[in-house]
Amino acid sequence: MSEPGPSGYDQGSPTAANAPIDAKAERPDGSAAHAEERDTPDMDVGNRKGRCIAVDAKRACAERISNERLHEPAMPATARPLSPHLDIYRWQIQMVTSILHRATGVALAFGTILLVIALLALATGPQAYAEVRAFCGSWIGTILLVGWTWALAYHLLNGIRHLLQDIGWGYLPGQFVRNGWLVSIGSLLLAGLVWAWVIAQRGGA
Amino acid sequence: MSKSQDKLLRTPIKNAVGLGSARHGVHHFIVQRTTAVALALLGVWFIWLALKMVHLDYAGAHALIAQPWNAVLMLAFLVAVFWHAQLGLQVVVEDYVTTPGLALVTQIAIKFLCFMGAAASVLAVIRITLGH
Repeated sequence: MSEPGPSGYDQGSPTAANAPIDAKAERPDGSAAHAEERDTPDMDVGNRKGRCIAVDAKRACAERISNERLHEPAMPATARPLSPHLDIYRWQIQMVTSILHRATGVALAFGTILLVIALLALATGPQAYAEVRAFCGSWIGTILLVGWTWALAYHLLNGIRHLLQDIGWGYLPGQFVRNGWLVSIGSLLLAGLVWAWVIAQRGGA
Repeated sequence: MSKSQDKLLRTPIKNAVGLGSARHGVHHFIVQRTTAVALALLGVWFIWLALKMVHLDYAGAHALIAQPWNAVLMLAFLVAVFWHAQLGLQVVVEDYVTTPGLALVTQIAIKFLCFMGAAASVLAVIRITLGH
């Protein structure tokens, strides 16, 4: 910066010749020679930028330039950037409610198989329907029904929560955590209430 | 990126075209919410119906579904359930199945199965209502 003399320039020239032409980040600052040297790659980048904007691929171009600068191996064409996955985060109610909504949704999709079978059996005749009832009364049928009851209760309550969030309600962190717990505990209560009703009816009958 | 692109003799923009939005996202979003609202209402009715059916025999359950109101609500429930399920499963597959061929096969299979489920159960309800 101060007094760009011939001696400074001479010292700088060998450095410029040795250094990789696009390794801007490694270069130390502070001398006139270095300031001079920096201009060339910057102009080059500027030209390339202009060309890229012309074909409207700014992001791809910027990525390529930064790759060239840092000497990083280029990304394969099929690989796409991924956001950090589950194991990065500390478990908390906000993410658990979201994961459970998806999981219960998939579980309920499989649960529709039993619904279809039950309706087809009811349309077929007493014997077919008796077989479905026997399956529902078996231990594996009971486990599945208890699971699907809770899944339906959770997906229903959390689905209402999602619809309210869609209209902008309950987004503050405190509210979000509170209604997350409300939905989770509420789903257990609802499922428990349904099965208490089933057991009470059976006991009474 | 650059090596395989050079091999394909394509510019980056050529490779990016078609991989973005298919311009149907808003429709998906709206239908998923509309069926969700329907199911939030019908779900309460469905829980009531299921609780009533638990201790009914064949004749009782058949008569319950055959009642006009229950039959109509059941048809609405079934259409909304399978439509909503297809939309939800579609998003799950989009998020987790990254192999293009497998993703396509899974998406089509989900659509087929959801339609089959809806068709079979709707036919069953119609038969229960009109039959005998």
